[in-house]
Amino acid sequence: MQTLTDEQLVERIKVDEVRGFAHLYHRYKHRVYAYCYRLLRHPQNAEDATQETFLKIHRSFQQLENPASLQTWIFSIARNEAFTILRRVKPVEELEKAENEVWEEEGPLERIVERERAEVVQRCLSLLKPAYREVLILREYEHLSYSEIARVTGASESAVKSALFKARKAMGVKLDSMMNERDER
Amino acid sequence: MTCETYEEQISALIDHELKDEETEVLFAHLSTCRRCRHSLQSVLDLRSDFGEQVPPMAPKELDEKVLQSETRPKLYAGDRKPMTLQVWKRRISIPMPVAAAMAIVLVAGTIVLTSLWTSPQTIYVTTLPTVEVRGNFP
Repeated sequence: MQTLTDEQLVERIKVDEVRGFAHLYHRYKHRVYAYCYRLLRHPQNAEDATQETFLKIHRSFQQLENPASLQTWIFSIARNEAFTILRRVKPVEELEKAENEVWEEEGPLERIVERERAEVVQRCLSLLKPAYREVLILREYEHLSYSEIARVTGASESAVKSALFKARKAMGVKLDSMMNERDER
Repeated sequence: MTCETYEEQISALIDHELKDEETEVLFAHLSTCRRCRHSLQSVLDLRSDFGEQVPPMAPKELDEKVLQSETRPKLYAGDRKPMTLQVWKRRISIPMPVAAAMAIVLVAGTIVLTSLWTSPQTIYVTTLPTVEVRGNFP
């Protein structure tokens, strides 16, 4: 059962809905949760987004046109759920203003206090604007190709390439300054 | 091409998204440009930083919320014929007290019937006294 491809899993769900869906859930639950968590930076919101994602997958399973694109379909649903919550937390204007800005505004509570590099990287990622954060998450953690990221986000491949470059560059600069700051303390 | 353009290609290079001819040009540039070599190192460092992150795990409670949801509609409710069972295969739900009462009646009835059927029948034999009749009869 573990060796089923996504296409075979889709067929399985058509034959045995309950077991097939449970299999799909167990295959993707940690990835979807991690993706939502990294986007939302909030455990409860990430759990809500993950739950909604799977319920939506269940409700709209018939809308999946190509079984081979199951993974990108799941992530695009998760993305919509996560952004719905993000919009609830922050108004749309705030999320979309200053397209060329890479960083979100840093509040007093978001100042860096962590000592470990891994935590600094995580904090740094969480300070990126969602549009940059999501491409970096999909590439670095989910290992999606540019075309798959484009399908998930609805952007063009060249836009994905450009966003990844900007995000990495900004992350590199920010990380260096944070690590230097930490070393000076 | 400027170093800025090459830096964008470096980002694509580590993602294996660069075409062969672009890769060749990029490597030729890297051999002569210290700034771009530094960029490559920086992007590779960042990648290893991401690699060291422990992924957050979905909480256990989520399993129940998603998989045990009784309000979940059927996936193919529209496509499939409603599931029908033959009458003798159907299950009927009966409240527990009713089921208990039915069981008691059934057991009691069986006991009564059995006892009636198998109990020894009493035969009463009446012996009448002998009566002597005297007289002339035609």
